[in-house]
Amino acid sequence: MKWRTLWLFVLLAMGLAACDGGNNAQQAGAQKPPTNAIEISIIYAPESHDYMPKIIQEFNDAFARGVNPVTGQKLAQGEQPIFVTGRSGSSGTVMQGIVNAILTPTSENVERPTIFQPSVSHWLVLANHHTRRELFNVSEALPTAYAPVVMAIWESRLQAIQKTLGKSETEIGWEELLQVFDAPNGWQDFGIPNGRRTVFYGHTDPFVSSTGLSSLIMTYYAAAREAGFTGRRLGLDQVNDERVRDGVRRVESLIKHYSTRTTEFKNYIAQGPSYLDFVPLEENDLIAINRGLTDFQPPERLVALYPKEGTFWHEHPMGIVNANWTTPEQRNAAKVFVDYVRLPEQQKYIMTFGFRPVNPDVELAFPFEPQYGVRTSGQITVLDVPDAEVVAAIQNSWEFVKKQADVMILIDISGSMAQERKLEQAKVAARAFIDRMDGNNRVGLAVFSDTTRVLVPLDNLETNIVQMRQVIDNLQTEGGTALYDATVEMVQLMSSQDDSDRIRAVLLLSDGEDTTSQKHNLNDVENVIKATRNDLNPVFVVPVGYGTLNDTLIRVLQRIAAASNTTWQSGDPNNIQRVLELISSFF
Amino acid sequence: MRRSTIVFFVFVLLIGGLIGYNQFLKNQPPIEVVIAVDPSMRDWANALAAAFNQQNALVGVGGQRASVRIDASFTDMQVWQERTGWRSDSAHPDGWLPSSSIVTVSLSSQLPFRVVESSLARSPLMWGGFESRVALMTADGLPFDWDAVQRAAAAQRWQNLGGGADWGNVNMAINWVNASASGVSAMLTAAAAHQQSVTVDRTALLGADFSAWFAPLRDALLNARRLAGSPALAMATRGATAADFALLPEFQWLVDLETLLRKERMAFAYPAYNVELDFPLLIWEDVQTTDAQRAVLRAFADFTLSEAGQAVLKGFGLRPAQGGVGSGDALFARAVQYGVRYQLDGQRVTTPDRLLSEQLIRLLDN
Repeated sequence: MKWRTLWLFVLLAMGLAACDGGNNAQQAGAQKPPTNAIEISIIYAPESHDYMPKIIQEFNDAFARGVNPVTGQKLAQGEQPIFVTGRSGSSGTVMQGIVNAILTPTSENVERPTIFQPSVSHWLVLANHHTRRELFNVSEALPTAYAPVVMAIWESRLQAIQKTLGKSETEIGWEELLQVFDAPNGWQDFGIPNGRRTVFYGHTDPFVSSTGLSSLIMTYYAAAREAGFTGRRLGLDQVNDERVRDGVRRVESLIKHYSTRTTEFKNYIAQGPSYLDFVPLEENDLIAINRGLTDFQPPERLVALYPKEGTFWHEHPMGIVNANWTTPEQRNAAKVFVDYVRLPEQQKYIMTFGFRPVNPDVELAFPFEPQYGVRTSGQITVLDVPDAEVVAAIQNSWEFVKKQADVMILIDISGSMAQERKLEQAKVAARAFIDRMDGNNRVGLAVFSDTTRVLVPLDNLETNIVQMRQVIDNLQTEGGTALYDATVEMVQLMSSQDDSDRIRAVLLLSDGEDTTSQKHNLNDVENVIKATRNDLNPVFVVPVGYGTLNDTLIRVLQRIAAASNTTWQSGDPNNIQRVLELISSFF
Repeated sequence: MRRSTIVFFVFVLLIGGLIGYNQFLKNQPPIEVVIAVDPSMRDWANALAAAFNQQNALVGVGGQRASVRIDASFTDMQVWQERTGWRSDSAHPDGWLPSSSIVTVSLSSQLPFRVVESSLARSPLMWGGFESRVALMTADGLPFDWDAVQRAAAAQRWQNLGGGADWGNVNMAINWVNASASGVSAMLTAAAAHQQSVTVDRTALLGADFSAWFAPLRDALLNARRLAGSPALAMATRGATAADFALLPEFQWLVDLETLLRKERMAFAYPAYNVELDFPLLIWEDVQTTDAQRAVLRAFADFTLSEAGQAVLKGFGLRPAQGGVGSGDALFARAVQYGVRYQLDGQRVTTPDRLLSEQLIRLLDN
């Protein structure tokens, strides 16, 4: 290489380094609060993570340049800059963290933000209710992004209901959806060829997720109406009425499985009508699915059904925390940030993620288009928000109305699991899993090598948890791997359980390498899982793969998972917490 | 030196001195007073303060520049309920501009406010609703007022009144009672309408007759507690899913009228028994209060009452403290076709005492 060429490379490298350094400096500068800045923090709802980091960045950048981003004017003499830091958190979890900061500050989950932006104001009201103080001034918690909760239903399903019942879209609500459930032949009675006999529904955890909480309140309304309630607003009388709770249980019995947060749930839904028929979602999530922004490309359009009985608006309110960790200056600074988020420019940006603008100067535009399944004009009926103590009672009732689960943990103890400490990792996962499950669920434990053995029969976890822990601790590797035989046997065992009102699942912990199956192959595994799809409670298998998995082994686990529309999970020890959260949230 | 030359030099020196003195004054830090306002008044209070500050008004013997800064941290009701933490020996504003004397006449003696000016502007409460809803409520000739509203609320659903099935429940809004003097005022007009009297009898509010009359109204109103900020703005954004109609200060309707009209034609009316927000200005008067602070607040009041100040307020839909509005006032003129009137009639309800105000709040927020 000539010297001149070498120099050119050196100069180019220096140039690139300088560019990179410049960027880093800019970011570092923007991330560092200016001198004498008022520092505030915000914890926002997970769906706001699409837009909030950029908005915070631009807000901070303006102050760093000496400009008030709301007025666009240079900072006046004595006007302090404001610096915002933010992160996302599930509304229910953050609310509990803030409540803990007041009532039990030594708890593990403690949050002390200046601003809490949940998806819906239910959480601000609940925080005030739990702390018995005006932690949030709800009438001053300005909305920043609107999203009605809709019943997301596949277009083919909605058209089938409309055609069969002779009703327009605006005349459909819970009442009609439950008619499908009651039909003797399910979707087939609604003209869906080879349609399932059962209706599949799902929702998120009402202690964590705003959509989960709103949909549970909506279910209570529907059940109370069915039980003869004619008043406007749900009260404790309705929530504690066993007839109403039976109605809620009936809807919950349609649950295929639960999920903690919408973040994951919307990815499951996108798999299509074979997975779930309808599900409550924030309108922005439905738009994201139809725009193909989830892991799966939806096979048909998902339509937003605005239930005729009414729904709730999620308004993403900015709750400024009135507690001893916020100063009057910070609270005033928080108002400036709220004003900024509500300006037309920010609102237009937020709208691109499927939220309706809160500023009337911003007209509804992309992606509010019929092709994305949403209604852009006309009335959306709203339900009355119950009092805080009623919302809290509805939350607390979930334990008694939710669908319980039967889960068989199936652990591979074949010789290959001794390598890379795979069995030890699987034991840790199994122990952590049972520790996370509600005691009302029934859990069993089976192992396989050359043969399959049920070591702890399916029983209430409250009853058998001690035995489960002991058995898991004593597991030893042995023999070959009859993965297919074991999986088929366990799916059949779960399918034969006589209690029809429970979620059924097999949690398969294995390295995926079948070496000794005598009776079945992978096709049999897929077929036996698929055969349960038409059951009221299909058996679904969640495979977790351990060790270094080659492509062939991954494909095996993928095919087992795909047969029940789940996804295989990596048992990598670094991933265990996330995997467990995900799996235990199904039940 | 000729006499005329001497006069000229003296003149130049005088002018130069004046300019220099003026420049000196301008370079002096101003006397800044902080005036607390309800958050619902923040926009126009800031505009008014900016206009005042631009005047570079001089106060006091030495002639120092006066400046006003607006602090919209607390609602009127937070002040009234002593939830601000203001004390003489800790942080407190220099002045307070609440929306209504309802909160000042029954203020706790712990807050040493003294009235500087009894009214800087006016805004009566006004009914506003989407015309389709108002048409149903008034179909049989009842005026758009509490009786028609009560009857609609008792019907619960618009469908029961002949409206669409998808119109849902009858929902009314006010600025929430626990946060706003206008919300308390709205409840006061309800009580006066029921009693057909400008003086509300507290004991009658406890009677079965009023309870039965008010119960459906309470149901129709409760969703309004989640409408943060101006209910008119929420209706302009979310349409009838926020509220079908509301009883709000006139200025809140006027500033959002154009965006409301994008949703649907509006209908406005004034309650027969009404309350007018009067925006008094008060000073925090204790041993530490200085003459300069008094002078700045006086100057601010004088500016607000001047033609220039009142013009700023009219631009936000407020009526002048003295005098009226007419076709030359754009916001009002635009709204006349929907029911806004230049001259107001009807009866003014007597300002309630503290016990009555507390009782009115408990009607909704107990």
